[in-house]
Amino acid sequence: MPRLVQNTIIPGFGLTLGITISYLSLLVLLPLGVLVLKATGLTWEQFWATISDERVVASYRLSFGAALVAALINVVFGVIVAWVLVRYRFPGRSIVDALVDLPFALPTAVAGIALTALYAPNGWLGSRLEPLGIKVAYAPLGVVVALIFIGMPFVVRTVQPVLEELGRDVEEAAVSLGANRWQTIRRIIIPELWPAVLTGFALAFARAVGEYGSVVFISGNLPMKTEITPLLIITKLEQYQYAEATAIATVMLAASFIMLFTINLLQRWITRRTAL
Amino acid sequence: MTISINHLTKRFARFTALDGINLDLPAGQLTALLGPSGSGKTTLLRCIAGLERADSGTILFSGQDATGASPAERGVGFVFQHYALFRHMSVFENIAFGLRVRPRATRPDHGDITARVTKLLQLIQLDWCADRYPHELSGGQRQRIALARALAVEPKVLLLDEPFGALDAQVRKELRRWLRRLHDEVHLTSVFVTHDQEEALEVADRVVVFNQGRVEQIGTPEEVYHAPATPFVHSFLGSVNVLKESSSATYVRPHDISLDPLSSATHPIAGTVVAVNAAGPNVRVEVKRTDDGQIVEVVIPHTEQHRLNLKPGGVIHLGYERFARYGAAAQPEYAI
Amino acid sequence: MAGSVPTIRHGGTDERCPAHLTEPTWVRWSLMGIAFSFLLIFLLLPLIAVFFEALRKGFGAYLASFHDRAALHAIVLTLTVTVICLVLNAAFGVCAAWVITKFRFFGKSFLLTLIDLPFAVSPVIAGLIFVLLFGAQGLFGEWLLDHDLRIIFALPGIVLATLFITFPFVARELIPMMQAQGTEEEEAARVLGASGWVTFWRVTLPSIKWGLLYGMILCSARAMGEFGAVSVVSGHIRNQTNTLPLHIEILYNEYQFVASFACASLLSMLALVTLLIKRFIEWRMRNEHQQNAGSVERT
Repeated sequence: MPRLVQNTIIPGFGLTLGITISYLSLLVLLPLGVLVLKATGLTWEQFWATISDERVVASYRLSFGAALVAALINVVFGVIVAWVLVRYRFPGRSIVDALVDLPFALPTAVAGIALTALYAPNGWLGSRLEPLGIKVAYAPLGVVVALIFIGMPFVVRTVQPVLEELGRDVEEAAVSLGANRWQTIRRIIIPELWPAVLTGFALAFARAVGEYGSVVFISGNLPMKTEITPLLIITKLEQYQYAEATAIATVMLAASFIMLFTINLLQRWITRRTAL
Repeated sequence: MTISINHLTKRFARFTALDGINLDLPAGQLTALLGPSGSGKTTLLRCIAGLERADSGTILFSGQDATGASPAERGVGFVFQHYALFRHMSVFENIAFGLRVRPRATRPDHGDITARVTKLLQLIQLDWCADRYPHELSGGQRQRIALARALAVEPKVLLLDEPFGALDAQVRKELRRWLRRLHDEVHLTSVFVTHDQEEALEVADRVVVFNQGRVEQIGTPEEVYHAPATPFVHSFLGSVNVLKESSSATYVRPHDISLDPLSSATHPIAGTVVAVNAAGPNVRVEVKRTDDGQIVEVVIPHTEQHRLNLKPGGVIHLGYERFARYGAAAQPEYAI
Repeated sequence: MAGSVPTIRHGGTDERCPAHLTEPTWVRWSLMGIAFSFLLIFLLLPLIAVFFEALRKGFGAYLASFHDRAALHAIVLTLTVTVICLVLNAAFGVCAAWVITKFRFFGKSFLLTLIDLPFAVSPVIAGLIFVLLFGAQGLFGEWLLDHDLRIIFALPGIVLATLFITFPFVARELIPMMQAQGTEEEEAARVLGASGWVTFWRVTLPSIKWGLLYGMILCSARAMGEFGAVSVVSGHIRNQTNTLPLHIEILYNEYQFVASFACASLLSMLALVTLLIKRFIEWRMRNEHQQNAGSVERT
């Protein structure tokens, strides 16, 4: 029999592999398998009719569109925040640094009602933006705001360590070769940061596409206008339209797999670059 | 305790680490496994310890088959290359670990453990740092603690993997002599792995030279240095000039070459001095052969340099008396 | 020694940084201004809003919000689910990290991908898959009904959905840590005669304890606050299957804003405590890392 494992001195291979595989099977493989099974139970016409329904397509447009806009905004501001946290010294820096993780720790429903309270027409920010003709809550812009909140730490936390690891010596080398500060940033630092920025973007985007809790309060959930795809799945479920919910979920799951694959490729790229 | 290794073979995914090794390690001796990295010496040590299982072949401890035994059953002490001290335990607890994890029936009582550990700490001259943690100590100190930890379980064999590899030159030399003295005191069958020929020649009773998963030569330090069995051993132990001749290559060590301004039967090879470096205990001269342009390295005493007064560009003649030739025949040809 | 060298991270100040390695003052101030404004608007204001709204009608009204059977039940249910998930996921995380980092075997990268999966899947889908499996119309629905077992719209369903969302946290934290530590210490313990269990309890566990705790903190924060997945499987039955986030939603939709934000403030405080503990563990891990790195430098 070909040996499954190389190292025979460390104990517990069978036990831990058994537990790991059983746990993952029960929690991930079996349920996702059932989802795919249910989806294949539909005829192609039914499936296509469901996922290309006008209201569903409008929800994709909002979910993916808002996620894209939010992730782009997060890239710009996330990189600035990471830069300020790594390169500049100011009082309270560690508090600010810790606060960046707040969206990871704060329940999404809490974020949802807090943002709604702020941006509602009678809220602190909403009441100031309303006279300018900017409507945030109960509009697509509200979805973007919620997704910015959710996605921001992903960009900061992927860019920050790369920026910290970036040795002073390469910058000094650039300076000694006659580069000015702007040239050093543009030609030395930014190229080094690219992979991390892309990964942060992909992570923020992936999280935002599937986000539910923080969005449902602020969006207003108007069909065709401010209804996100995850909400549509829940609506279908509540109407006992399991087949349709499953079909839409399959589309989202496929998108998740593509994003996961992209993120894996990006991270492999980063490891290869930093290993050099 | 003697260890005999028979036809031991170990393959990893793509390469053969041990290719049918046969080796006997006599009791009470300090043996060095010497070779370049990837030559299989560490794999063999880990197989002896039971950390790695060979694909085929047997390992006997005092004539008893130990091939399938667990590391604990073998009664070996192992000193890891990077020490593998338990970082969350004090020095005392590190050394006591092997005693504390014994089954209740054979576990020494608290007082015995304290006494044993204290004695070992005195032996390694680190009794003042019992309560320190590994990260507070220098590399040399940690090396000695790793050794004490291995000795605490009173092993029948002591195995050391590149014991001085991570230390700087000065500490390395001190610890080398200290290990030799320690071995002379306790007379444990010991095996250590090294890629440093100087280390192997200075410390060991016997040297086993490895290359590409095979044993090239076994012998005393004098034997492997002065009578290398293969071209590999010759060039691995100390520097060597390989002088090409019509049918074969002649291996000559730089200090076995003598120089003379005049051509003669004893100094037949003409050349030009390329470089002279007189810094150090000897003078290093580089000579370019006139016939084939090969650069030959020569080491001569300072007194010779006073006599010859070599300068770059000068013409000189080379001769040698000690050499080895490795032809197609298995047995090397020596002239001493 | 590593600790005494002024690095960028520790104690290095802007003034010490030579002019050719930083930006002009006005650029620095602008960048800091942009970063602070962004964080203020998108992070700090929502947090302040929670407490402000909760205390809008005074401290008495705030406290009265918790004198509610439904709120208390939601708190207890949330804590129960969190503890169950924490125990199971910690055990799973250690097992998965052990098998992935200590052995080489076929299919390892597939396991790693499975562990990453929940990060990319929408929480709503995490709920949906368990409805399809155990719901009334689901694969095992009839069988469960015949045996009078409830999973969906009951505690087991909430636990399963939360487990799906939170199981990667411990494993993801431990895998790189144990990878970096290698297997030498375990091998040393085995050669010294320690059994497998003793090796794990006395050598492995103490050296991964901070990583394990870190993963558990992240896991519990997410478990306490999970909304989307739980929302699908819970059925929103007050006093039975309402977790705290769901309870907040119900109160909010019933226009009981003070009570809703009061519950939200409770979860916000837990989030802040989480961040504090997380910081502490990061600090401990960095210290240990530096000790080890520093001592290697001295060799």
